[in-house]
Parts: sequence; C-alpha cells; structure tokens
Amino acid sequence: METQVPTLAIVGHPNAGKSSVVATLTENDRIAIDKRAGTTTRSDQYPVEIDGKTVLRFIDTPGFQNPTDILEWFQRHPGGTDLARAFLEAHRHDHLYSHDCALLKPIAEGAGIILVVDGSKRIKEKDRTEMELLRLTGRPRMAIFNNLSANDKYLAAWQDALNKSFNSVRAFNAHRATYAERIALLNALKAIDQRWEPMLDETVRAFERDWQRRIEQSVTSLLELLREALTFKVVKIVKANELDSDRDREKIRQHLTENLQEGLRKLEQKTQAEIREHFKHHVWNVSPSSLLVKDLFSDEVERRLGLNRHQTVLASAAAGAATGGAIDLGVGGLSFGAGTLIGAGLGSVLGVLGTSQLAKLDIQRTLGVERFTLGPVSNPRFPFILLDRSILYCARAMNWAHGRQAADESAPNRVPDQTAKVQQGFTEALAGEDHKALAKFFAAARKGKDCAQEQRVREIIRSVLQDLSNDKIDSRAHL
Amino acid sequence: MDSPLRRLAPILKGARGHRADTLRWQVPDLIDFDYYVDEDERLLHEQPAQRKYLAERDRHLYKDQIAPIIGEADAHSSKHRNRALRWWLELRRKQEDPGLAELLPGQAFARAQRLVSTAMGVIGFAVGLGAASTLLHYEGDHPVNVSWYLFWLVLLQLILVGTTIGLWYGRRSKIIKGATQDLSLLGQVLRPLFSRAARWIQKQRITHVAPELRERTKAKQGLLQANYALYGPASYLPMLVPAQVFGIGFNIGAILMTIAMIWFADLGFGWGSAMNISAETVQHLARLIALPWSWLFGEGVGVPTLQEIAGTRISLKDPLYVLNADQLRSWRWFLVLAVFTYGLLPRVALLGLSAFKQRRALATLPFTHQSAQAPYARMITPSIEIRTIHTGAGPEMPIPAPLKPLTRPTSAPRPPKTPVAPEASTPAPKEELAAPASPPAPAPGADQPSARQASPEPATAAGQPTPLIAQLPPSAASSERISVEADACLLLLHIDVADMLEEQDHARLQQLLRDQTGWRVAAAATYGGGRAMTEQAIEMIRHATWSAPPARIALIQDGSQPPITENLRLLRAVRSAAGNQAQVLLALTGDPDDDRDDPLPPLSGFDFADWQRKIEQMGDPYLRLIMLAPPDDEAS
Repeated sequence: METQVPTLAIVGHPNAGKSSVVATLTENDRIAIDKRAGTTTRSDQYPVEIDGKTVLRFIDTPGFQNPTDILEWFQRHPGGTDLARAFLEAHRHDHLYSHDCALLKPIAEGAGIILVVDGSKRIKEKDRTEMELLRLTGRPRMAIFNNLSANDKYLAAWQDALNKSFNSVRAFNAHRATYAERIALLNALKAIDQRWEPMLDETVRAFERDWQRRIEQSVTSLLELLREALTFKVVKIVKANELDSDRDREKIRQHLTENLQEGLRKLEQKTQAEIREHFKHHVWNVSPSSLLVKDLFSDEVERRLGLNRHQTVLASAAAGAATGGAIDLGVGGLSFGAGTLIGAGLGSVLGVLGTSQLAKLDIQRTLGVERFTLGPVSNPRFPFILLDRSILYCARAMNWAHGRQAADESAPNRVPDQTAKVQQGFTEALAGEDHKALAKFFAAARKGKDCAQEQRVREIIRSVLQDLSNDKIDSRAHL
Repeated sequence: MDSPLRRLAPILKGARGHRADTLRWQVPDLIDFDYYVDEDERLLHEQPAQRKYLAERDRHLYKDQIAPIIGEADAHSSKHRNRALRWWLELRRKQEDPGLAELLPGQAFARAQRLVSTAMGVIGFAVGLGAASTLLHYEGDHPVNVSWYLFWLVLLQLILVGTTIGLWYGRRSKIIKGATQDLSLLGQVLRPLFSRAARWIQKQRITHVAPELRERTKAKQGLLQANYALYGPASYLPMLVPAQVFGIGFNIGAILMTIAMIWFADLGFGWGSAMNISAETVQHLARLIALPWSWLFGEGVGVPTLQEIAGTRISLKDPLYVLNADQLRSWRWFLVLAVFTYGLLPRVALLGLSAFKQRRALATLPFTHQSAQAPYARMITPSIEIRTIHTGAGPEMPIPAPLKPLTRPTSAPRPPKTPVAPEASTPAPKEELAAPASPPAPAPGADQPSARQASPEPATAAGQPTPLIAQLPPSAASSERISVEADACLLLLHIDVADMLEEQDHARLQQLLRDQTGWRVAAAATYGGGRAMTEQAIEMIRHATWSAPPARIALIQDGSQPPITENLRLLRAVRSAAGNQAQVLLALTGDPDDDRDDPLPPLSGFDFADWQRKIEQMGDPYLRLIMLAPPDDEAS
C-alpha cells in the first residue's frame, strides 16, 4: 500500500452505517448494504483513481466484535508503538477476532480512521470503548455522525466525547448527503492529516470537474429530449372506405393520442435512464407520492409543474405564438391529453372550459386513403412541464445518496429530507427573460430548426443544475 | 494532397523530435473532424453506456500522446483547444484501419477538391481559348476591334475581381450578406459539385476495397457533413479556389490563344468609335491601361504610339487596304499584356489571398461549438474512477463455541482450568474468563460439581457484584454464598440498562421479569463495563447455592445495539459457569427515549430478529431469548 495515498478505514460498531457512508462517498450503490448487523464481513477497498493513479482510498470494514477485549489488550501493552499491528500479530489466527483483525488491518498499515456513529442514540459503553481504543491507535482520525433518526438531543454529549479523541467531528448523513456535503467532507479530511492535503485537493478538484461534466451531459440529454419530444408525431393511414363515420375518426384520434403520449413517455424514460447513468445510479427508489412516478400526463403533474397561465401567455407571445392562442391559454387552463377529443368547432369552447389539446390532428385525403397525423406537440405548456420534470429528476439523481438504499423510509423518526420550501416547479421560478428564451427554443425545436437561443437555454438549464448541486436552490425533494 | 496517414507519419516522427507545430488544420480535416465527432455522438446516442469508453479513449490519447507535444499549461485557451483537437483528429485517423483511412470523408473531399479544381482549370482554359479565338476572328476585311477584346477579356474580369474583393471585405454588412446568400454561386453550384464529386470518389474507391472491409466502408459514405456555419470563412473559402483556378485557366487560355493567333496568323487590330474621340484620347487611355508594364515595355511595344493609334482607327468608309499593315499589328502585345496584367495576375493574387485567408481562418478556429466541446472536455477532464477491490468473502460474525459444556444438569459452575492469554492461538472462548487484568479464579478441583455441592471461592473485593438499589434483593458479597430459592434467579444487568434505571424503575424491572419467567431476583450484578465487571458477575454465578437446580440466570441487555461476538461470549461464559442445563434467559430492552418515562421500552421487531438469528446460531437449547417488555406494553 503506497504510503503517500491517503487511506481511510471506515470503522464503527456493526450497523452504524459504515457501508452506507462508503457507498455515498464513492457513489456506489452496488455495495451490499443491509439493515441487519454484520453484513460486511471483509475489508473491501475503494480506491479513487484519477487517470489511473490512486489518489485516495476508502476501506469499508466489518464492525467491532470484541471492542472491550481490544481496548483491554491495548491497555495492557501501553509501551507498544503500533498497537494495532501488535494486536493483529497476536490475534490474526483467532477466528473469534477475524472481524476485528480485518478492521484493524488497514489501520495497522497506516490508514486514517473515519469512525461512524449514530449521534441520534445515547452514547453506550461500547461507543466509549471504541472511541478510546481508536485513540490509542494513534492514527489520524475523524468521527462522523451518520444519524439514523432525527433525534438530536444527544449530539452535544457525542460532540464532547468525540472531541476528546478525534481530530475532527462532522455530521454526514449517508442517506441524505448531497454532492456539496460530500465535497465538504473530503475537504474536511485535510484537517486530520496535513500531509494528505495535496492529494485531497487534487481529488476534490477531480470530483468537481467530474461533476461539471455530468451536469453538461445532463443538459445535453435534456435538450435532446426536448428536441425529440417537440418533433415527435404519430401517423396512421386508413383507407377511406374503411371509415364509415366520424366515430371511426374519433377512435383513430384517440388511438393516435395514446400513441403520442406513449411515445413521449418513452422518450422521457430514455432520458431519465441517461440521467441515472450520468449520476451512477443503479438503485432507484423514488417515493410513490413523488411527481416523478406520476404519469407524465396526469393532472397533478400538469398542475404542479411548468409555468403558470400568466407566464405561459407572456412566453408564448414572445415566441411568436398566435395572439388568439395566447389569449385562449390565458383565459382557459390546460389539461393536455386529458380530453383531446376536441373537434375543430369545440376547441375554443373547451379551451375556455379548461382543456387544451396536446397536439393538433392533421387529416389529409389522397387517392382513397386518409392520412391522420397527430403531432408534433403544439401545447405551449407541455415543454415547460417536461423540462421541469426532467430537472426534478436530475435534482433527485444529484442529491440521492448512493447509500440510501438501506434507509428505512417508513421509520417515523427518520431524518427528514430538506424542509419543503418551494411548492412550484423549477421553470416557474425562472426570470421572464429565461421563459422567453425557452419558449423561442421550443418554437424552433417544433419546426426542427436550430435556434439561436440554444446556447442561452443550455446556460439556463446548466445554471439551475449547478445551483441545485451547491444547494443554492431548493431541490423540491417533496415534489 | 497527401493522405492523412502519409501526412501523419512524418509529423508523429517530428513530434518525438520536438517539431510540434507542424500540424495545421485543412478543410478536409474539418470534414473528418465532424465525421468523428458525429460518429461519437451517434455511438453515445445509441449506447449511452459507451460514454465511459469514449472518456477513457480520449483521455488516454491526450495524456499519452497529445499533452507531451502541446503541453497542458494553457488548457482551455483557444490555441490549446485548436491544437489539441487537431492532434486528436490525427490520432483518431491513425487508429483507423489503413484500408479505411483512405475512405474518410475528408480524404474524399480533398480528392474532390483536386478533381473539381482541375476540371475548372481545364474548362476555364478551354473557354479562354474559345473566347479569345472568337474575339480575334479576322477574315481580312475588318480589323479586330481592340475595344471589344479589352471589354470582354479585361474590363469584365476586372469588374468580377473588384466585385469579389468588394463582397469579401463587405461581407459583414447586412446588405451584402443578404445579397451573397441569395446569389451565392458557391452555395448553389460549387458546394453540391464538391459533394457529388466526393461521393463519386468514395464510391469508386469502395469498389476497390477488400470485401471484408466493404461493409464498414459503407458507413463512411455520404458523411460530408462539415457544418459550414460553425467554421465560417474556413469552410467556404475552399470553394473560392476552384473559381480562381477557373479564372486562371481562362486567362491562360485567352493569352495563349492570342499569342498563337499573333504567331501563326496575320491579325489586324484597330479601334473605332462613332463619337468624336481623338487618337490622343485613346493614347491616354492606352497609356493608363499600360501603366503596370510601360516601364518594362516602352511605347511601340507595350503600348502603341500615337501614330499607330491614329493609323488603326477603323473608318467604315475606308477599305482595309488603305491602313498600314505594321500599324494594324501594333496593338498585339498591348492586348496580351493587358489580359496578363488585369486578367491573370488578379486571379493568381486572389488564389493566393484565398489560400492565405483560409490558412489564417483555420489557424484561429476556436472550436467552441457544442460538438467540438465534447471531445475536448473528454481529453482535458481527468478520468476519475472509484474501483472496488473485493478482498474475498470474509467469515460471518464469529459465534463462540461452548466452553467445555458440563454434562450433569445440576452441575455447578467452575472456573476455567488455566488462564489463557488472549494472544494465544488456542480458541478464544478459553480466555473468556482469563483476563490477565483480573486475577483468575482458582479452580475448585472438581470437574462437574453440582450446584448444591459447589464450593465456590469467596469473591474478592474486586470480584464483588455491583450492588444494586434497595428494591432489588441484596447482591452477593464476596464472603457470602448466595442462596437462590426455587422461584428466584440471578440477574445480570447490562451497564447501559443499569445506567438508565432510576430508583423507582427497579420494581418495574422485577415485575417485568416475573411476568415473563415467574422468577424473583435473588441477587444481581452488572456487566458490560469491562472484563473485571464480567468476572464479578460470573463469580456471583459460581458462588450461588441453588435450592432447586438447575441454575436460573437472567440477563438484561440493550437490544437496540446489534449482537456482537463479545455478547455471545458472555453467554457462553454464563453457560459454563451455571451448567449446561441451567436456564439462561436473555431479556432485551429497547433504547430508552429521554422524552418518555420508560427506561425499559420494548425492542423493535427488527432488532429482536437480529438477536434471534445469532442466538439460534449458538445452538444452546437452554438459552431463551425474550423481549423484556413485550411490544404491546409500549402503549401501557
């Protein structure tokens, strides 16, 4: 093991959430995490490599099985310069100490220590024992609170106890940690051993660059989705003699509407898969109440995302939308896809009543056939809703800790996600100028044209995602 | 133009020899660049999982081959980006199958450019020959009118050259931009011509490719997708080259035809006008035109004299024979020099200017457009990867083996035969009660004494059980033998639980225990605070006198912490001390919440199940696991 590479052994009591911490720090949701104790039976290593060079190494360890014995053994050997190594030598063949030896091995080899504790519980005798024995190892050490519940009344006592034995004490919830918190923790590691500073600086820079790259990729995915969604259309060709009545045409319209919606859903799902890929998520458990699991064309999604009526009118007007259409939008609400059975004569009436179609149906009659074309999407709110939901998905992907898989989401006293502050979507909170730029981009995308606003739109989305990463804007975790 | 591979070979050699600046952008390079960028984007679109592969590939190219040549210091600068991407392109080409490299769209474009340029030159030459021979048509009845010759072969060309230069320098103004867009000869004629020629060349080449490569080569067809808007002048300047070549060919043709006619035919030149223009005026005009060459070819050769001009005035009333034959020939070199100076030279200059502008435009391309950013970002962004090194499957949580189980149900506990140091390689359970920190209890001698017959050693002061509060029965004293009635048990209380109990809680604890077991508490000791404390508790068991064996031991433990080997070892020690048929009860409590009054809350089902699994693994049939306070007790 290279001595220059900062190596950190994540240690603690069984079930303290060590593997969750490692999973979140390394963005690896394939690490086996179980709510049952003793899942980790070996010390797996997670080297962080920049251009193939290891700059940092995390080691997940099994929990302490015999902390009292270890401490008492350490206390009986006060003259030993390297207690961990000596203990290892003495007990390496004793199967009862196999987990303890696996835990102490990296420490004996010079690794720093990250002790994971649940600060929401009382300090127990075992905790004091573990703190003391880790102090006796003499290695650089940090303690982190990985609280499994929202109880914070023991935190002060924990802080006092840990301050006596650890170089640094920080809160880091492996189930809720965001990108910014991960970077903050990495930065904090510098404080426990100054020799690590250059490598950790390089690591943090690499993580930051990598994050920027992911944001850029996500913006590209989102723009691609918008372009594809706004040019997507469905076609059906029917022989004229097979159409007996308007009812048949209505059935075709319904069929096409379903196909159009399904096509748009698939496009969205494809982009969501890309976003998950960008942010390295393989396990994805979104709350059933989230807008992300609701149907794209559901009333709730339509109601809570996208622009409000006033904003839609202004943005549409800026994009050169027909004034009449804009006024119609202003007067009536939108529920694209809910009805869609709007005849030419009924369109304005239903629009006023609160329904507007997702896309226009075009029927062409030639040579004994009728060609029905539905799409592309003409509803001016739809792209804003799609963008909003995609940004919401990005926000979830960015801030969904990889160690969250073991979190008990139903626990009554669980650590809450960020307090809900904002009830509206992301696009609604943008400035009017941004709405106009987006609307112009959407209008051009519908025509399949390149748009001068694309760069501006790219910047708008990038800015939102960056602010989400840095916790500058609310991630709408409740939506 | 050489093939990319042929060009690459000396460059790569040069790179190693510190000749790093030799690689420049050419228009075919832009086409190949767009082709490769497009290929990567397509791959990503179809297989997003390939993102990692592309990132690794480009990063390796940069770190291993590009950065050593161009350096990394000024990364993100326009110059660095330009050079890095040019090298990226070169290395991508190098990775191509040699059989396919010749078929890259840029290569096809270069060949097409040569083909079109050659064709334009030949056509221009032919047109020049034709135009000159038409204008120099002479049958001997009328002299060739120099005015028409000059108009068509000089003035018109000058206007075209002037227009070209004017459009070039005024290209940024809106009016000219609009006009050139609509009237763009380049866009309308030359560009499709290039594309068609390039496709034709690709097709011809593909027919000569080995059959095994043919499928792959098809993918490279029709990919002339250089995005003209992105590269500005660099993209449309090459279209100007064939136009200049056409002009050069035209002028050379015209000059050669004129010289040929002069040499091989007798031509008469003259001028005429219905206006009252004097020969002096014409001479002034001729001198003005001849200014560029008059210093070299004086009057009489480079420009006709006044007398010659006057003598070559065509007058319809005069027949040709009245004119002087020598004077009629006097215009010949003036005309040749005029076409050379005003037709050929500007075209050559424009060709040079186009090449220069093109080179400059290519050298300053910023490559900031979105598609170019992707490979550059992949190159300069360090690849960051977090690997997983599995160290193999480790053993499950160690379950300690029984400590020499006793065979008689009423056997009394006995201390271990010999203390064993923890570092010994013998099984750890033996050291359970052999902490060097506390003196080992001396062995009583009998291997399997009954509880009643047991004669435990008096507990030392250090070995005294921790006294509990008044509600609990008095704890065992070192000098006393604890007598345990038939309905009573010894209680071992974990220190974490004991710490939470107030005076009034003990009664409830006993009540809960009695509810679960029917046992009273005869004596109690705490454990969990270190080996010495554990030793005291074990000693208490050893010294107990049971009125109704087997022994009955109750342990109360905080079950909110998962079971660890240390806990199980204690249970083994208790079993060893109490006898192998002693009733051992492990009662678990939850973690007390300060907000509630209950210091003995029920345990969660999940935590209980965790303990249950481990206790089952111990395989001790006389060990019973319970929740001290059943879940429904929480409400009460």
